[in-house]
Amino acid sequence: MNDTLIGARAPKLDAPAKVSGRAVYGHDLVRPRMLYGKIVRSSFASARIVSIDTSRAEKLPGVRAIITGADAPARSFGYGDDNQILKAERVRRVGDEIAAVAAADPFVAHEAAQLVRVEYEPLPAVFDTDDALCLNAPLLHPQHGSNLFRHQQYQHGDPDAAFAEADVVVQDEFELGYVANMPMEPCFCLAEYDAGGDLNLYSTTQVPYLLQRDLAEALDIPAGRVRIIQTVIGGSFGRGLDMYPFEPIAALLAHKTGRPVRIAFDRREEFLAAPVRQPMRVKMRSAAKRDGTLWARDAHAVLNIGAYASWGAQTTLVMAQTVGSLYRVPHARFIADLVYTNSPVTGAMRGFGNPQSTFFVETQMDRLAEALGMDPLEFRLRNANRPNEITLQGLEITSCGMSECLQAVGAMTDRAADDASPPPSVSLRRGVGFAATMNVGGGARIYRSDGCGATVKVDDFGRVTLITGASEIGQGSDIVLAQIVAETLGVPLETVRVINGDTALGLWDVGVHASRTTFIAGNAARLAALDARAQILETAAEQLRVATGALDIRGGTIFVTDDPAQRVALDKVVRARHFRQQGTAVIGRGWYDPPSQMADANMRGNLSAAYSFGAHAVEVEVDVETGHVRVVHIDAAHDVGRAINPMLIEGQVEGGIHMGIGYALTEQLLVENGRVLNDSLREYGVPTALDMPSIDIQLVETNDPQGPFGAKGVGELGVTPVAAAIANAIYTAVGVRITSLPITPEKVLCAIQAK
Amino acid sequence: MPLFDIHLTVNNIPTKVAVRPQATLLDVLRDALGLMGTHEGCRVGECGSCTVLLDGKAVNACLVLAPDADGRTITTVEGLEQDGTLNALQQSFVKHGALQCGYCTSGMLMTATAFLGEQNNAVAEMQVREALAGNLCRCTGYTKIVKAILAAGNE
Amino acid sequence: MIDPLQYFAPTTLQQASSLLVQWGPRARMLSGGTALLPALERAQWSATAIVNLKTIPGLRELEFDPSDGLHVGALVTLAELQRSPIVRAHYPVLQETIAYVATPQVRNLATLGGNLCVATPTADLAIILLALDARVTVHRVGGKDTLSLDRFYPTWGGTQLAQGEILTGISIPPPRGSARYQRFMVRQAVDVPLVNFAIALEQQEGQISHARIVLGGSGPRPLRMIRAERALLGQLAGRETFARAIDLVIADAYPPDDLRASRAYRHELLRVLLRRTFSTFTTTDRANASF
Repeated sequence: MNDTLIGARAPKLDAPAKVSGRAVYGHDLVRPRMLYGKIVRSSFASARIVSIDTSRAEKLPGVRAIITGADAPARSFGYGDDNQILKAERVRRVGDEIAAVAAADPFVAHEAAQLVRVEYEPLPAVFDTDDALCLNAPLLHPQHGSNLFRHQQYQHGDPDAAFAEADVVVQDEFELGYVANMPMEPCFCLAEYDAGGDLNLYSTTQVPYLLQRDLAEALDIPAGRVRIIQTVIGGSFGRGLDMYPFEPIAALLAHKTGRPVRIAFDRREEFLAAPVRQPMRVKMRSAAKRDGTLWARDAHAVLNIGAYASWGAQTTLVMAQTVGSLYRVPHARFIADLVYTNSPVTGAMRGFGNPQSTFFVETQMDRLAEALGMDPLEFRLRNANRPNEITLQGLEITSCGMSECLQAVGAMTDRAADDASPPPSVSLRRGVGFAATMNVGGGARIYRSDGCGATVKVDDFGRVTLITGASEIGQGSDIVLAQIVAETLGVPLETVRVINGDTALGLWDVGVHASRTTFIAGNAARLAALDARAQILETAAEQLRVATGALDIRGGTIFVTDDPAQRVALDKVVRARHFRQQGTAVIGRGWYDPPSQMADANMRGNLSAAYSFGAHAVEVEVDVETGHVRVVHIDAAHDVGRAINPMLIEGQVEGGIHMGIGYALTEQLLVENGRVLNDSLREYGVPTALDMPSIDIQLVETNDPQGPFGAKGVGELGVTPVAAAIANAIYTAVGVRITSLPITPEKVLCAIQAK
Repeated sequence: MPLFDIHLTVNNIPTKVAVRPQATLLDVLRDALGLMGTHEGCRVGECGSCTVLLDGKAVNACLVLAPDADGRTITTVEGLEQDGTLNALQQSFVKHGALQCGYCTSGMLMTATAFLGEQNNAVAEMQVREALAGNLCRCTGYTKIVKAILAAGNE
Repeated sequence: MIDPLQYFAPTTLQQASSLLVQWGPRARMLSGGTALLPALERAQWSATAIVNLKTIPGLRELEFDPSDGLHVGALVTLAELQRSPIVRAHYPVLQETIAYVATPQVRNLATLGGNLCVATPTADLAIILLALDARVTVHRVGGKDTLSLDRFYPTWGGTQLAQGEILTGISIPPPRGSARYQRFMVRQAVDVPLVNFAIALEQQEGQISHARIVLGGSGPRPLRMIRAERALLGQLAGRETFARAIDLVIADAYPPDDLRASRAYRHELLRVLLRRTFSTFTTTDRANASF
């Protein structure tokens, strides 16, 4: 089979629509008779609802419906079964949903929401995890018995003995702040009941098939009567991993009014109600033997999960992987406490725990190297993960280019050092820091199935349609899947279209997360294309009177491999198969569920069918008089298995680096008493074009045995090592270790002055 | 509140729209004229997603009060194509992979259009980055956007 | 979402004034709109009437006279000022300061008059224009009045504009010596400043003959550091003189202490950045002032 499409820098399928303003995002969606929904939210972090007065709002012309907790099913929902669609008795965070309005236009909906009067009786609140765990702390969810949502422990080897016998031990406390996904398009949904009474929900979700079930359960209707349709999504980065109250609220309003109802957050509501990354405190120690062998790790993390639990609670599994399996570590323990507080709701965000854990693990790798008097790169190489090795945690590493990645950024950085120009001012110091990363690259089984279904249909005109369960949220999975299908079938790329994002059309998929789409949906698409190919070859073999094994397909033409002059066009074969007695269509079916395991109660298990690796070398410039840090340059090397589309992989890495720089240096939600103080983009601190360094990317290809054409997932790999590498670079530059994020100029200057 | 009639020339087409006085140019373009290519990201001029050309200058459509736009000339992303095909800048964005989710793309294109229109000489990377300071992107890290603009500007 | 309002497009200052008086505090003036619309959108300000000043002719002049200085109509946009060859030639510091303000798109809309009337304690242009001894012209019932920008900003914050009064122009005296503007932010653009200030100095035969130091964010309005200014007058420009002035600024400055940065850190930043900025007045090397 020719490989011409694998490795092609093909533009995204939706690029022309997006550069011409034709793409229809959720916020652009208009339906006949549509109403505008607006949610009335709590202004208290903890309070009893004394009364809700909707009478003034109801009198406003144009208001079609107002609902409160009395109109919603009483049952709870959510990952922790702790949330209600509309809160009738008690609110647990600023922004809790209390009532909702549907009106004929957005201005009226806005005005009506302001006219709803809620009387509160303030209740005691807890914002800090330590306070929340006190014996007499007010309980957020009394039925849970404690504010400790979950306690988890992972261990391999004998960490306590290992620390006693180790030659060097380092110990730190880390503190990680609030950051938010902050996609450019705020949350959106539109609920519409069709004539048959089925609920159609247009949504910015990342998990349409899970949302179908969750929405049905929350509304107490059969899931078979729910259809989820993803709109074109303006970024998500993990935000869409859970169902949030606004989605069933839109459904309730649509049901009550008999009309389509949309709820579109504005930016301020996004800051108030969209999930954020869990802030956390971590106590950690790491140990090594004098010969440079990494010996042990022990970390205890306390996560503030906010008022309700989400899939974000599973980030501890990923952190356990970093602690237990990033580098070969003979002894490891990871303890996590997830704590409810009256604070913003937390969720999933790109990297899913890994940017956090890589920050504390890789900071201590640097410290161990220093304590040993070893070069940080050499220490890392010595302990790097290797191919075809099962870690003590049970991760079955197959392809692994970690050492190649470390060597690549080392080499790139040597070159940079050779032609380095001196800093422009005496107060500026430069330094290079490293961090490596490992991330799931072959799905992540955090649900009973990690599967994805695909159908490839080839029509009478040779047009190929892939119908996939996978979700395109901007990352470009559509073109990657199209490349895989075109390559497998032997047709030109432009004949393949991709249909997705509709639970009524696609086969099931667990959703877009865990960098899984290229690997999982790619394998499913490949299997479907292989099935279609076999059907085409079967008919072509009859036509050309040869065995199917003698045939190949290229450029949409089937030909005899030994005698290419004997050929027939693909569309002709499809028609021949179709228009005959007992004819049939070309329908390729594919289903792929990776050979991975769910983690057990002790956080052990081979979560993924493949692991992706990477390493970053970051050069920073620190102003020793102000503490200001500028990222000058980043060398990034990533083991991607096989690069199906290098341009898109670069895009994932560059975007990941952007988020990593934000996490490390500029982004922070300032939360005081459960309230976000800086609820605007200007004050929040997403890096601008002027804050980005030059970036050199090198792709390391290790050809994964399970991956489609050898590919592994890369969606999160760019962000995970960035904060750690920046912190390590700051140490190289000015000799201070900052263990809390974000690394503000003030923290750096204080550390320098305290030296 | 009474509606207000305003006259606009949008993408070379003169048009009359009745607007609410508290509406913004962004609302007019999207809701009244159906030009959904101009995206709403913050409504307070901090993200650049709704950048359009107002009398040739890049502005945030969310910061222009609708009645105040009376008599003005506006170009949106829908006005960039020439004879039904993508213009050089749009093609450069496609070719260089300068977009992922695409939500910021229209604003990026309009800012870049205004910026390139003002340049007489070769364009430097730093100038492009400065020009983009008012356009946030959460997907790309800006790298390929800057490349695409440089390529289009220095062709 | 902005609450319902009425819109007026007067064509004379008198009409605008009458409307503002008639509607009282429920009316707001619209010039660039870049502060007004976000404040209404986020319900930080309320208004039921908007009086557009841009429909009034004659507020967009930009004139320079070597003996009178620069006169800028209130509706001149920041982008127009930034690109003006006059400004570049005679007030380069103004051009540099404008580059810090918001974003390129906002600068295409925002007007100098509107910017000065918003009067936040950290406003870049108010700070540099106070250092340049700018004056403003205000339209009042029965005539116009000219007052210094320093007087325009009362000590308790806001502006001196009474209902119905309209800022129509800004005058900047001919350049005296040279001036610098400094602003420290975490990000390279669009960020909230942790500290910002302007310094203007004139030296005659090595002695400082004129000094202005204006600090942002240290009170309800940008503040002149009078004690430090006095300490500079008549002194030789040099490290020791500047060190004394810096000590006085630090003693008099009261920057905020909040989740973004502590007061102690802001003081430290001020000390470093003031030293760097002052040092550029004794050398021709201005690169040290930028970072």
